[in-house]
Amino acid sequence: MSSSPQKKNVQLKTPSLTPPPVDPPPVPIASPQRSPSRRALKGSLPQHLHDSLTSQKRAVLHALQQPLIVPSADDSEYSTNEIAVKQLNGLLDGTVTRGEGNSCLLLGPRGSGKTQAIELCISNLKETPIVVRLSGLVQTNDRLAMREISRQLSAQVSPALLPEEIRGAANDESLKDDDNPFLDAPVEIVELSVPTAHMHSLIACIPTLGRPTIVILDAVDLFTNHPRQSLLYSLLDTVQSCRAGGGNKGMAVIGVTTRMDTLICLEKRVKSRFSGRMIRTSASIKASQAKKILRAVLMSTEKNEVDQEFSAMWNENVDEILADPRITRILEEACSITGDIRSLARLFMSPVLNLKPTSPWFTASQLEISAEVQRIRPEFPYLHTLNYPSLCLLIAFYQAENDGYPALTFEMLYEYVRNAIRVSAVAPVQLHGNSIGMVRCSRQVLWATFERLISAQIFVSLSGPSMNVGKNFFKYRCSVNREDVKKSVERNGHSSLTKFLRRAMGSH
Amino acid sequence: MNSLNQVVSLLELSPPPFIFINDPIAPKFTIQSLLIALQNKIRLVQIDGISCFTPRLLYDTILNGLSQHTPSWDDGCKNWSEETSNDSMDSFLRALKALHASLCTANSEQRERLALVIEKPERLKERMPDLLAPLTRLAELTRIDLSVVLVSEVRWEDIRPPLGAAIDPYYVDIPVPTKEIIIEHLVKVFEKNSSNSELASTSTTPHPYDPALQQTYKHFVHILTDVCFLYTNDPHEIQYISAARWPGFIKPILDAHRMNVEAAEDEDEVEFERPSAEVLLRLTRHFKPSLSLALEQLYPRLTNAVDWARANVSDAASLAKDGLILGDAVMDDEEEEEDTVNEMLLSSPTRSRSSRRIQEKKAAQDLSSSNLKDTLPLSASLPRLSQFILVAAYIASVNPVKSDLRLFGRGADEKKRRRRPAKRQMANAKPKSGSVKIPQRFLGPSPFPLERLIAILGALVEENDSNASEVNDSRNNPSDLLDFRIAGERTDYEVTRVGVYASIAQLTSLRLLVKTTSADKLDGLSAMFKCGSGAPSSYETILDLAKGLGVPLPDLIWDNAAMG
Repeated sequence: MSSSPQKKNVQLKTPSLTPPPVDPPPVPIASPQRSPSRRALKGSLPQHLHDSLTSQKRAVLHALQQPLIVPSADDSEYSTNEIAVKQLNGLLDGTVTRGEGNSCLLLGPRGSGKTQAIELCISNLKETPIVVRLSGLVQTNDRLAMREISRQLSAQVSPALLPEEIRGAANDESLKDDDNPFLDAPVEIVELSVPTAHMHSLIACIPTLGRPTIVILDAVDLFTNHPRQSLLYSLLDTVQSCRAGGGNKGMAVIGVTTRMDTLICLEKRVKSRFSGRMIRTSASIKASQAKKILRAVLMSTEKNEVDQEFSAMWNENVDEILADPRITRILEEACSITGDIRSLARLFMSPVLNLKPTSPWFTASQLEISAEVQRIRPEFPYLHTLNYPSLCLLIAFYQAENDGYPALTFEMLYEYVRNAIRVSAVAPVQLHGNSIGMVRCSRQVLWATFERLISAQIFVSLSGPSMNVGKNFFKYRCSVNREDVKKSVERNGHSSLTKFLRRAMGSH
Repeated sequence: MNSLNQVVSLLELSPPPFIFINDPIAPKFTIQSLLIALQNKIRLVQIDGISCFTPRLLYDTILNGLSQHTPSWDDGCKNWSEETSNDSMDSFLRALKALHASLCTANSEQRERLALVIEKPERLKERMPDLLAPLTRLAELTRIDLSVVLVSEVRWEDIRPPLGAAIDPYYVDIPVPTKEIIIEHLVKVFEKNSSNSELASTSTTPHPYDPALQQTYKHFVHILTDVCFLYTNDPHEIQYISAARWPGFIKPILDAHRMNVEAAEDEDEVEFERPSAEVLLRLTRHFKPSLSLALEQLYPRLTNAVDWARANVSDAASLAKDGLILGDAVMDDEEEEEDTVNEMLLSSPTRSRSSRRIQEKKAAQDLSSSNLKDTLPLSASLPRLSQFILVAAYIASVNPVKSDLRLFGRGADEKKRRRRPAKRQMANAKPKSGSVKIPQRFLGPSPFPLERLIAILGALVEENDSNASEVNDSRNNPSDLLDFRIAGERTDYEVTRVGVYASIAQLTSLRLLVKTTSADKLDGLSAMFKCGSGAPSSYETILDLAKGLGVPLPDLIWDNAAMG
């Protein structure tokens, strides 16, 4: 948003004037010649290119799900994420090659590339470490986490190397049995009052496994909710007491989280064992950078499945569309709010899906629609297409709010609707021989409609169900914005409803 | 349906890990179309948020569905996986990975794609709030080609787990079904029915879903959607109404054909022919009023389709009036004719067709306007005293306590009720600040002590029960040793009889009255009651009762400005 007009100009022009060197030669060479052919094909695609379109769509959709981080080439200094990757690399390298015990927190907003950074670093390592992946969402208590650790360890380490206790924990059938958790010893120990001792000894033998270990704790903030944080304590204590040499290998614990206050959530004894190292990823992304990424994504192909002729036209179309000022505006808007590259990629999904042999090229308007559906979602996009009784009820609620009632029972809503219909019937208006008054709507039909709106949570009950109160006497509030009701009724254009609305607005 | 096609092709090509489909009108219909479109293309399992109400059920349903394993009684209803995979999320993840691996090895030429379609995910949120976030991240957690599709009437914003634990979905909004979609769906159902061999084989004569009738059915469906579309756009609801009405609608034609066949037994087979445009017009005119009646009764499910169809069979007389006893064979068939004549005699011959239709409509209106109908009206099923009690309870529930003296109090001067005009109420309706109190009649019945009920009952009986006063006047029964000198004393005596308490207890057990204080409290008169929900707390029902008893109910309601 802060970019100067001059800079904007540059952004607009770069893709179309000088195609970036990233992509293969066909574009610059082909575009002058192919351009007329595509113009000619504006309408639809010839038969022999249909398969190409399908496979191109598949390739793009696939790429849209894992958008790669394209390094910002123009900036001299490194971006936050590159620094993060570098730091993390150094950390893991120390663990793997020098046998260090390392711990760190990887902080960053959603979709800022935390997991991607870790995976990148692990794949860059010279030696394959043992990787244990835990998630706070899945391993909701230490017992489950412990079992998962032992399962993953036994899957990656040859059983002979595994110390007796870990093997035991992994194979212990009784551990898996939730029905009688009190029959088996290990569970009892973990669940009952002296968990740390046992768990500690199990985790303490991880460095003896013969290969360096990396433990990744996703959503580590949830692990801090576990009683006494014993798992975190054991892991960090092991890491801290890791001594280089002596046959023991290194161990790294990486906590991944979006919560900035995770460090505060750690108990004192846990915190004192934590190295305090925090690596941050950032989700700020510039529109120009986003455009580069998207360009790479949209031009990605599956090998040998796309016709040369088609891919030339395709690439040209992509360049053209990314140069469109409307697209630039959408991207700039999106980038100023979120840096989540996944959400940017989502914008392009529905336009890609909409491509058909009869209309095989992107248009900016498609993307605008998609931006509305995916990003700037209206609260109730379908409101204006609702049926007549639903809209009646919504207007009735609108009117009641005007009268000062924030929450209503069905009886009262019904009263409003009934009155409106009665008023409309008193003075029948005819237009071209048809009555344009409000159509009668029986109480039962209104009630059925009301129940549907409840299940869509447009009306939300204020109290729980009760035996003694009739359903029609529960109080409800309306989750639709007043303005939205007004707009959607106007958009619906049903003349009698518009009249009802006008009366409702005037009633105050 | 464009957005649905999008989902289908997305799932076919390369699905994102998590798709959220918001369909406010007909999620079931959407899921069905989705499943049909994706049949045999990817591995799909449909999960119902209502039936999978524990994590174990959810895990087992997913795994069995994806592996297409049906637990059978003979092998002990074993689930797909050998080891326990339903005890926790990570066992489930392991099983899912194993399942995917086994599927991939089974057919190696292509990668197996899995998809979970979850219906009513809002129920999962209520029952297992911890589960929703990992469910959306299933692909990430298992690292397999898997997509989770949630289909809900509710918006994702209302379901989304807190703290951004779930990933953002790919949003799909299904638009409200249009008339064309509904008609297309109904015709499709018709085709399915007509190809159903069971229906075809049971009778030699054409059945209502005979392929020859498809054009007629289309015509019928057009009319039906025209009637219903204003009120509902759920294809399944309209299908339900259509299923109830169509057999009755087409019956005259089928009957006519059957007669033709019978008449021409020994000759060649009579060709079943589509009804002509004129007949169709007559049919339409005859049955149109019943369509809106069907909507009003079947859409809120006041009755079921079978019963409704049975109750709304057109009698021969009205059919004949509309010229719908078709075929030449009618006149030859003696029985039929006799029946018809009898029917004709029974129904008044002077009544014209149009007036009859108006009457029908009126009946429909009466049916729908009478509040929460019961099979038997209360006035017919309850003894007189109980009816009085119900009226009294209603009055006690609706009126404020302070009004009792004004409405029922009688001084020595026999001055009639001093009812204050409800002018003050209007002035109060305008909000001074903040929210206004909702009038009591919209909040439902308020509780009242038993004592008050008895007192009001006494006043009602004293003033309105003509039977009792007659007994009072003509009383010359010496065996009754009690002497009632003061006016109303006898009534007072009557209403505190044990029988009254028994009636109240009985009404409570019928839940026409509801005791709001705990049942173990035996403090006679301080127990609190209120009208039961439904019929006993609706003004219309009680008004009917009161009319039957001769009680001027509107005069006895304190705030009756908007009543009636």
